[in-house]
Amino acid sequence: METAIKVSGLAKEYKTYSREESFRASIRSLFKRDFKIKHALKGIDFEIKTGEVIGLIGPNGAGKSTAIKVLCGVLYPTSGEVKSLGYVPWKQRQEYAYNFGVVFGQKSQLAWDIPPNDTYHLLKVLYDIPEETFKRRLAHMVKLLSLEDIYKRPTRGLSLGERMKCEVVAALLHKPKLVLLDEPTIGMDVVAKKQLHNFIKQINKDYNTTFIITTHDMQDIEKLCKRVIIINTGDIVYDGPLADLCKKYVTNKLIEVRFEEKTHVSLPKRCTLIDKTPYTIKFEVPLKNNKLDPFVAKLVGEYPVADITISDPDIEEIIRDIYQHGTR
Amino acid sequence: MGLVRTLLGFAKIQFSEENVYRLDSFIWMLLVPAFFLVEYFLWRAIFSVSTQEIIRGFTFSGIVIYFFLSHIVQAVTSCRVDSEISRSVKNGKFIKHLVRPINFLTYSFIRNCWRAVFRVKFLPILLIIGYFTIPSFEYTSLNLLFFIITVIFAITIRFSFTFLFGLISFWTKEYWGIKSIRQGIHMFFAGSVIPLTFFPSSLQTISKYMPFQYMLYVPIQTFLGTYSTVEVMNLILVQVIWTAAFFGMSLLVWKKAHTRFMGVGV
Repeated sequence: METAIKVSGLAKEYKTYSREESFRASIRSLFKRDFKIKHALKGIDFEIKTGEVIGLIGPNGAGKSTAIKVLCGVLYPTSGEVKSLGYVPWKQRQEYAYNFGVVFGQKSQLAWDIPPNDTYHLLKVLYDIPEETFKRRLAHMVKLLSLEDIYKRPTRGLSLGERMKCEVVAALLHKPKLVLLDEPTIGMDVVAKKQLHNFIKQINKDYNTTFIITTHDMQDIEKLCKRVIIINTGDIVYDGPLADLCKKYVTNKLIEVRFEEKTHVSLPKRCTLIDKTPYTIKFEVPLKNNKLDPFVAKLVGEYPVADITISDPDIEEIIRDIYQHGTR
Repeated sequence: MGLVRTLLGFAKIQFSEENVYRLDSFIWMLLVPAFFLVEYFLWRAIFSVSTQEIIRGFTFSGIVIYFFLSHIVQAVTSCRVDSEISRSVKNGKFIKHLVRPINFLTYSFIRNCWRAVFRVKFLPILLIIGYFTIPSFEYTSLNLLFFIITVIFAITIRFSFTFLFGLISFWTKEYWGIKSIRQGIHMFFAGSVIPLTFFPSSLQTISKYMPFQYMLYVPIQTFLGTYSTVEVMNLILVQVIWTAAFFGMSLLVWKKAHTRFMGVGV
């Protein structure tokens, strides 16, 4: 597989101005402003192959959007190198623009007062897409995302979810090799989300398009991304397959048992009790060498067990743990 | 082929944006002719009590044509690229212009030209009113040609000037104050309130060194035959110089604004 994006030592610093509340401070700030240097990215490295679907996740203010903006070429990095599809994004902006598409969830690129369809026609002209190709692509995408009744209505009247679907179409009309989606599923209901997931999978399969998706929705990641990059406070804290993340960080199994009759179980010390009633018990057992604790087998053998459920902790909990405590 | 297609594509989106609010469009169609009628009656009253046939170089038919053309030129040259820049910088949507494969200055200029074309939709009504109000008037086809040329440069000056001003929004968060001042000075010195010959001579001299009269007053006076051919040539030259200066500065400042937006050197 060839490399689509190579990022090395990418760092970005911002000056942020702050001001005290008093009147004196606001006068003073006219002449001299206090600023702090904020390190949005602290020298990150990663490489993405053509056709990968990458989930870029991290808590608010971690540097995800900064990374996306640098990859779009709309932000100069403080230091470091980026080669995306053979271009240096912030230097070869116009040539590069033909090759990537981007959706900023919070910043619509559709004209507000007119239907998305009109913006699509403008994009057709800007990206120099032949009429026939344009019609075919638009019809295809409209069908995949069920936009038939939507894309000819003025943007201002669309719900957030409908608008987001239209934004994705706008970003993909010129058949970019690389698509950057910054929080594409905000405001989407479950049906719309599923449609978008299937849509991204389909495009990725049909054209081998590379996707980078930032999101706060773990469903997006689980459904779409084989590989995740987790950024926290400007550093990459994890880069690898989603499955490995689970393997590496799942140190406990969650056991839920329902008994046929009133039962009292005494748990060994290594287990953590979560909930207990006369007929049920819920607890966590630690994993040793990735093996289930023998206590569970003993439990099933010796007690009147009617039903048992063994599950991994929620992926969101793992992620939350990483956000709060960093990698172990 | 490619260029024609591009221009028509721009026309289409501009047309639909321009006509989103049909009531607005309709009111605009009536409003401009109504303004003209007010000016017509005002000046008819002034000339009826005046003892002079010519006031400050204007005959009655001259002044009526002045205001008639003033509305057309103002519509054709109208430009709001500054407000658009300021709004999109403020709400962050400006970013869309930076991920598209077209230079923002080019993009704005093409859109602005089409906007001018669609702004003159009041013309039929204004022409009908003009037919009944404008007294007979002689003009030469050479003057008409000069008029068209000077109007074209009026468009380029006004666009590049407004664009340049709009770029201020990249440095100040709030643009409206600056805009109001600019608009006030503009209205006064372009001659849309009253022809510049009504000003004291000192103000007239000052206005010669400002770009505003070249956006309205000069094209109309050219049509009215106030200038000799040599004078017209000189005025067109001045227009070209203003256009080149403002476009040049726009390009330079745009580069600065662009890099600033991108957070260079921070």
